[in-house]
Amino acid sequence: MMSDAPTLTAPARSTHSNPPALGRRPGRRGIAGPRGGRVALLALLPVAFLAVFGGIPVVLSLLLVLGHTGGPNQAVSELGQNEIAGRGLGTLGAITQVLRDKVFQQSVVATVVVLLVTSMVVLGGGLAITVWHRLRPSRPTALLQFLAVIPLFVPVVIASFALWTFWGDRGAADSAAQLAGVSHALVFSGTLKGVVIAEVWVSLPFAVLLLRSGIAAVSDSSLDAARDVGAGTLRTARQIVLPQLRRECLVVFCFTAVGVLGSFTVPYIIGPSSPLLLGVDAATTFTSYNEPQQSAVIGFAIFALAAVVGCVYAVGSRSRRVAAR
Amino acid sequence: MLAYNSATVTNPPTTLDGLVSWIEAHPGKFAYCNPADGGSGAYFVENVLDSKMPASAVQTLAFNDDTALESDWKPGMSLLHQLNADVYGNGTYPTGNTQVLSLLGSGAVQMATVWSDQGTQALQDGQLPSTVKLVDISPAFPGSPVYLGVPKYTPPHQVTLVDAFLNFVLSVPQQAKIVKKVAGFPAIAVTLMTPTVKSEFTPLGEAESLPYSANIGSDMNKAWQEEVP
Repeated sequence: MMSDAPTLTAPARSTHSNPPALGRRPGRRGIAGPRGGRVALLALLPVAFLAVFGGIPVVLSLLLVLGHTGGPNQAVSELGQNEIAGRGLGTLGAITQVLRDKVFQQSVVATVVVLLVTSMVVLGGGLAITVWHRLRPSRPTALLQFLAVIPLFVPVVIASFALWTFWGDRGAADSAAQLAGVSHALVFSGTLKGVVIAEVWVSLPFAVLLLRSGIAAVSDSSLDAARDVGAGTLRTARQIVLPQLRRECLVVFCFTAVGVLGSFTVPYIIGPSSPLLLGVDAATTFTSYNEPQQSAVIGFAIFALAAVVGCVYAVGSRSRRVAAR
Repeated sequence: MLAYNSATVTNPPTTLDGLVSWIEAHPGKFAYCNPADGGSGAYFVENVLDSKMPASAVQTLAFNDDTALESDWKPGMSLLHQLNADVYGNGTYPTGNTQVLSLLGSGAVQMATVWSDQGTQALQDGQLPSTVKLVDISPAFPGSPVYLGVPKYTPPHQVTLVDAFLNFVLSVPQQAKIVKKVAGFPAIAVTLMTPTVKSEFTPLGEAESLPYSANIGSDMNKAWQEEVP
């Protein structure tokens, strides 16, 4: 079997372990003393920043959700309408009202469906592009990989509007379909399918970049060995490459999911009027319905769903660590 | 205002009832934007709701937050819900005034409600083809009055300056400029205006439709989202 230039004697499975400790002898403690205190203080700065500018508003929002409309929430309560105030510890009135709202329920279902479909398409598409290029590199696959990263450099607002025009009535896709005699077959603007297309367009670059770096760690020798024993491309992909990409796949899936969860621009511009996605619902509730309390509840609902994705990520990463031991 | 493509619409409706009949007779050819996202859609919705409400209720809701009167919206909302199947895209509502202009410009719809100034600007820019015409219907769509407010605590010696400025703004040449440059409606009686403005605005009559107060408008947006699409 002809082989290319002799491969390096790199280990068959590259380790993502920490770099070797430099200049440290075993038994020596970490940085301690006054220098250690100053370093800790420096590390505390971003945490403090997050706590003040992120944490305090979240706490105030939670108080507003529970009906505490006085104090720091007084200004927003006076301007807003349809507020449900509570005494003492608070009231769950706002939360129950939003949970019972038909529009909100539809939004939750729509958001979850869109995020699951988008994450799977992004993961599948990203894997297809990167693995194919790794196993059978050629000019077209390299070009495809390059094109997949371009959306990263296009601002989301512009991309959304362009996609709305492209997939809309009399857009490029519809015009092509009309030439083929099937009018309206490719009109996706104003539908959830259009939202999925646009979200995939926006999320694919990050997936491709991450998978590409992960796949670079797969050694040539293992691929050559697979080829030597006669494994086809698909088999090699499934049994050699994919198992080594588990962590990257988990990251891609979870980050895409969270991205879709919090997205506003894409579903606002290209999405249907009903059902809305949660990001749009929250923003519209605040801006157009003038209901800051209810929009805060929707915000916390988004947090809750993101926490579920976070749990998926945590459990997924943990089991990998357990297996490695 | 109502914008229509005169190349395909030879007999545009002149009343609200006529518009509703036209929409039902030509499914998919009319669009109005989500009222939460654009005033052009909001004022269409308001016009439909007002047409099914007693005039006193409409008057009250323009200046008061009388939420009890919102139950009068039911007939209007159910008509709008019925029109779902007949508006563009089987109930696809563009998110904002600009998208409606895009649809009208590309020919995806033949009629839409647009802002008078935005529509005129789009015609001047070429975003809308010259075959598109802007007309009013009866009852007229509510609009957005532009207010100049003077604080109550203005010192007396400055009040004369303020008055001079207000008189300047309300003078005929300035009001004519408002009509010409921003396609606005004059704030003074049409009978006092220049002949060109008189000929343009007298046919429209003096009928004014008042928009809802801010909080009622917000409630309307929410009610629309829940009952219409």
